[in-house]
Amino acid sequence: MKRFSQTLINCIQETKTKEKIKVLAHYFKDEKQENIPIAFHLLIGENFGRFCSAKLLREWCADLCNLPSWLIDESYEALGDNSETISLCFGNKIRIHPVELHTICHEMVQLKKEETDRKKKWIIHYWSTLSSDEIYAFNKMLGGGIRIGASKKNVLKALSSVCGVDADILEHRLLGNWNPTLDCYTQLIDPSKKDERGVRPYPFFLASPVDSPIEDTLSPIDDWIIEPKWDGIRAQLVNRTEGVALWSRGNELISEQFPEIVSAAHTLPFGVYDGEILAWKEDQPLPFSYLQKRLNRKKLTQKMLLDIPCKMKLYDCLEKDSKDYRAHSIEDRQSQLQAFSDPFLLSSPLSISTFSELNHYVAAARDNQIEGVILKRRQSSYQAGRVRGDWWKLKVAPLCLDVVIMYAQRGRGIRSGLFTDYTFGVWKDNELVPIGKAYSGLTNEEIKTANKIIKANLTDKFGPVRGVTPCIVLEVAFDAIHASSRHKAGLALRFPRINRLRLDKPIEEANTLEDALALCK
Amino acid sequence: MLSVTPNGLYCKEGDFYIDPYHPVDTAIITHGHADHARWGMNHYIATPITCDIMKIRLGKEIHTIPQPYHSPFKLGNATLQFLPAGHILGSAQVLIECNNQRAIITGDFKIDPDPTVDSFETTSADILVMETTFGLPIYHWPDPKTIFNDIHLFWKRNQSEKKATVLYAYSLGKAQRLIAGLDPSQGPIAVHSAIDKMNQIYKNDNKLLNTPPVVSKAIIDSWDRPGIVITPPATIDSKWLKQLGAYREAYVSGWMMSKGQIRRRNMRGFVLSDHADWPGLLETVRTVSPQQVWTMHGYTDIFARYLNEIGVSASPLGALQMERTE
Repeated sequence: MKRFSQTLINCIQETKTKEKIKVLAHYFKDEKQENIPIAFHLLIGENFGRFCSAKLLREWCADLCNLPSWLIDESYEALGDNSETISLCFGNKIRIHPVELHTICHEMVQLKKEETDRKKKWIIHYWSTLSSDEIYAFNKMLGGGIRIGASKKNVLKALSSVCGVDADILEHRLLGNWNPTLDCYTQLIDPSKKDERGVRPYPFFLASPVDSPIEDTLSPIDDWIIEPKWDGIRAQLVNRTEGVALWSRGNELISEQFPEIVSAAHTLPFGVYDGEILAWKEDQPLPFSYLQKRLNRKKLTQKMLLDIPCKMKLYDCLEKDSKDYRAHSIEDRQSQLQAFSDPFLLSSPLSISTFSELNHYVAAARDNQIEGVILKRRQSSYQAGRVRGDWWKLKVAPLCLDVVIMYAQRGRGIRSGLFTDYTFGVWKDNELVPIGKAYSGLTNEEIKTANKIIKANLTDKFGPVRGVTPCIVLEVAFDAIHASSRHKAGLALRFPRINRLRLDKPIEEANTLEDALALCK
Repeated sequence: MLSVTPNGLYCKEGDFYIDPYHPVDTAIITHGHADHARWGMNHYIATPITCDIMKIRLGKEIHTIPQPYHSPFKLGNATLQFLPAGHILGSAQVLIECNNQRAIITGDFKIDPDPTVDSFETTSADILVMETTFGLPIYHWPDPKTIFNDIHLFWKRNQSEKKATVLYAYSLGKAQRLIAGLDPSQGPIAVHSAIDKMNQIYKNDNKLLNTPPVVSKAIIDSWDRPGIVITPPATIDSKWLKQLGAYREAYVSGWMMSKGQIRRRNMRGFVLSDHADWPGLLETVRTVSPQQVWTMHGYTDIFARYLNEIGVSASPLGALQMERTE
């Protein structure tokens, strides 16, 4: 446990990615084999499912430290990390006897279904015997993710440097069939292993936002294939002799949510197809909110399948008849997309040949239920991850409203202790009504300023949420607005983010509910 | 005996304020940090060291009345006495006695050992006005010896990579504590000029034996091995640091207890605080054993609520909570 917890601390203390990778590589080299699969699992952002609630952990910590539980809750609010709060409450403890990560993990898995009292006893045993740093790692294992500031990709790079298997191959092997067992791990790092593809997808190639002026990056415009940026779910459809699977960009299996697509896969040639799933009716995509309804359901009803039919717009072919096409040019790959029928549609490139046409098209995108355009370099191969240079996205300018902060909550992790999560409202007659929540977009300087003002204007307390005397206007940007019962205003914003603080603007001049309704289409 | 006014904590019997927020006639100043020693008082009463610091920071022309530790003096009907607070050099707690009542105002204080200050001491009182900057049970300071050990390891590693080491620390107090704790045989040490100004006061009081040179091109060029530069946090990301060439940086503060803070600052953090931690605050309450506690700074509400639950009558001076600068 010590090696693992020390590695977490060292990683957090290192600021450069290169150094973090070094720390991780060291760890993979030194750690006992049995512990690595578990550590690796946690480091790439996976977890073992929640062992018990965070609130319960804080209560038990209060018990053991002989402190009231409200005090632990307050400490958590201030620090923004449950595992860390609990470990720090125990002070500078020294370990009584060493214990292996895999021992603890196996005990945890065994106890998972047991009753609460047994779990409590087990947790308190370790809290009493581990050092504070180890308690931190232990708590992280019990629930929640570990954030060490190194992405999955970097963890894979570290492992790759130790085991000699290319990081991209590791990533591909992880897709679909990873379990934190020694067996799985041995196969993962086996340099001589012949990769079985199963129904695994390929790592997605992601477009980067293009900087303006776009002409600098995109001239000459003939170099680019320009496609609509559909407002749906990016997905890879794997159709192989081994089986059919539909994967989302987050490498989640979403086959069950879209049975009509999976069951029609056999009409396509064997291969792997990249495209966008859209709710589609009468030759038109439906707004994203419809698609969300499908995604959120565990079990789909027949009615839902009828009410919200889905299609998949295909725009890339990564594999066909067992041949990997990823190194081929996009033109070559797209020429493989032929002859398919409902529910598959071809995402045809747009015939745009000047920048002014491009700008016009993007400006009108929202009316056409699309988000903008994707530009793909004609000669580009299909790369892994967000690699800048060959794929760009150009989004329609967002919608904007000036809103007033009504409630604030302290941030978590890197923003711990600062009021960074805001609920904001617009005017309805002489009252503010909440319309949405956002916590991203401000610069660190702006966060500091807003935090100072909010701290001086706090009112009521609703658990961790604090009322704020209306005094700050925010410019909020969002991709769409639609009816919803989530907020009192009866509207919901899609991807709300904060453009800037409008300290120059009196709150009376913020937008009204009418203004917001006018943006709904 | 004590009341809270818009100008700050006030004693009617002696007609004086303690660390007032706005200009008043007579101000008792607990220590030289800018959020305690402010502009515009007619008379500043403080320890001799704090008077020296204020003359440097606020101007030579201010009127100061130095009063050493442990020497009672009278203001109106009140008898006052300064006790060492252990926060920075010259820092004092104020013991006030009048009408058979005793009050202690701690100012900022620290219990952990620190060779550059007079050690914190306390006594019993009826009223305790205390700071609660770190008044949460998550704050347990590690042994300063371990921290200095870690800093030396960090320095050594940077030396092996031919990089200078930059430590950000407040120019008054923390910087001198670092200088005193660093081993000069490991390599050269240099400081920012704002720190050097304060070093002279520490040297005159024999709290620092050696005062490191101020950073300059010539000094950096003369280094035979990568050294340490101690500089105030205001210089983070500044051009001034460029003269050091390649360097690695770290922030030295009690706030570095939080991993979120470390990630936000995006640099190494060393937990070294000049304030009392949670056990230190509680221990102080137990020793003073007051009938009434008033809390100032930081987690005032939370600490006061906890004291009430363990049977000590306490209330926060929340209205007076000011933004902390040091």
